[in-house]
Amino acid sequence: MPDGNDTVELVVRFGHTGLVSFAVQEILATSYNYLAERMTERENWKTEASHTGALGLKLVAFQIFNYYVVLLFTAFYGEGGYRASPILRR
Amino acid sequence: MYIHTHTHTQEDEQTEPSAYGDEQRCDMLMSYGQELDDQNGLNDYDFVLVMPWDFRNKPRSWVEKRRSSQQEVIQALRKEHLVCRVLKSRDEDELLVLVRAPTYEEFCLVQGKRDKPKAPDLSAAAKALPVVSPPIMDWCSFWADKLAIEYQVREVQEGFRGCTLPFSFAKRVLFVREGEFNAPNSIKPKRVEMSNRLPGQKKGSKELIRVENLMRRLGSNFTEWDGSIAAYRVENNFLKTMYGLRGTKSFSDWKTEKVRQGQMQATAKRQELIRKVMDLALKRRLRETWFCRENVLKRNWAELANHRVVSAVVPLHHPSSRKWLEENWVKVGSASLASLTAASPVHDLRAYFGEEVAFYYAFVEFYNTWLVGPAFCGSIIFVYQVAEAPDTLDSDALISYMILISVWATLFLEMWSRQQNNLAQMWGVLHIGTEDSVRTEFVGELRYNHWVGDLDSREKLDSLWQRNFGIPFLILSLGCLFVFQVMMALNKSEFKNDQGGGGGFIPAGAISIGEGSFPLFLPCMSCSCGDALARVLVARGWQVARNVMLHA
Repeated sequence: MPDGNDTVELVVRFGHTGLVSFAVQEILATSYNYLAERMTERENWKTEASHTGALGLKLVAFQIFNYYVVLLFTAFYGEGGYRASPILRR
Repeated sequence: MYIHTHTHTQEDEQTEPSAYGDEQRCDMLMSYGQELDDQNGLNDYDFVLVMPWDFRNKPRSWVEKRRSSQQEVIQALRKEHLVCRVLKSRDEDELLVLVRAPTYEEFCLVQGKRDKPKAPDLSAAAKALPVVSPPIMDWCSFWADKLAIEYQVREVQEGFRGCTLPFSFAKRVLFVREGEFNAPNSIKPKRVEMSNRLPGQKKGSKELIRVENLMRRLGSNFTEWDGSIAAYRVENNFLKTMYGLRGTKSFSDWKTEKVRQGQMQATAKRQELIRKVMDLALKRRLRETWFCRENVLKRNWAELANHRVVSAVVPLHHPSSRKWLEENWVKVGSASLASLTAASPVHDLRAYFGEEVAFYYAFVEFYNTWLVGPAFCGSIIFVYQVAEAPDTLDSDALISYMILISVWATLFLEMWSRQQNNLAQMWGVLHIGTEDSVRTEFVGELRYNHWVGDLDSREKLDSLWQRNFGIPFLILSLGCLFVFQVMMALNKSEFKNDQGGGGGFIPAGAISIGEGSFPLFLPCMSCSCGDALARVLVARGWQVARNVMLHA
């Protein structure tokens, strides 16, 4: 397990990527939300339930993917992930 | 016709709205109807409309529009014989419009006297009016006729303000999904006639025959409601003879008791009716309001709230009914051990709160009764366990308890669904589904709706077409997102490999933002292309398809 110095090194090396991906996710989420809402408005659903359903389908599917794909990629596929890191592998 | 004449004069005055200041107008609204309330007090109202009155920092014409619309709303309600009392809130920023149905005397006055009684005559005339028995026509049945609702009216001796009471709306409009009707080659729906039937029952079914026989035996004056009561009585007697359950009261006792409680009967139904009339009043009467002058469909409370004419429409509690409930239900429920066996007055709860709330309490009561069995067996088994294995509480008796619980659960569910259907039949809600509210933003076009039997706002072809692009838009965005995110992650890892273990202070992901934002243009395009494509197609002969859809 990494000790205190390693933790500092981890934060220094990978912290900014976390921050950047968070910022990117937020930007993407905001823009997508705007688009999805506008599009659902244009679809002009008659009832509240159908409107919420149409909007929710768009939002949920996208946001799950948006927020978790980085984690999943880093954890299982990326070269900078758990398996590749010399610190974490210790 | 007192109310009519009064509103007519106000209407004449309204043609020159600038002649009146705010204060004058407010006084005019407030003074009206005050003499009616000297007898009745402020407790008996059913709804309150909250209207914003304090429009500061708004242009004069803007305020004037709101003021005149508010006046028009109140007049519209008064023209449907609803009694509106206008009050000003304490800090004078809102008008509170209390709304109730007219009493029997008031309604008789309106119906009977065609000539003009003057305002001071009203209370004296109302007092002098002989009580007609039985009441032939009152506000409720008058409106039931107007609304073409098949409407069961039963006389109650100590009824709500002398009115006979609505008990059930037998004919309810059945709704199905829009698409089923729009689909070509579909069979046209027929209106379901619910008259001469118990709610939800097919003709010739066993239940109906049983109830019809009962009704014949009991006399021809019995309504559907009484038929249900009779069915309930049969049920009760059956239970009583077979299992010795319930049935402590005779039928006549039960019915007299219901009638005695008539004061609180059907508060929910009454408010439902008044709400319908209020909606209809807007539809019929709001001819001058600027935003719904043309469009009848915009004449509803939500639109009025959007335009800041009305802030809220709130149904009010009924004090004497609440008092009755407190004494007969709340206090009994928390008084003593006896409350464990005391049944909650489900039928009265239904009358006051409506079916949804009543079903909740019916379920709780039923569930609690049924829990007695498992609790008893469970405690015996617990004692057995403690005796057998005090440390681990592990015993073979648990298996028998598990079997018992699984059987109990099945039985419980079945019996509850039986009870539920029983109640639903008695309350006339056996086949009632929830009705979706129409969004205020919805823009439709007027077409004939066979299900409602009237003109209705239906979906436009443009928006139907636009809906084809929802899922492609989602998939496209997901694809873009995937490419973008993976690109970013790959970029990160490449960067790290190049720099070795030391560096990495430059945010590598930031580099890829520029490339990744390109795919965002695609969803933008798909968002707008649906509409454009629909326009092109409609222009080039999709009118035919639209007609096919219309006449399908």
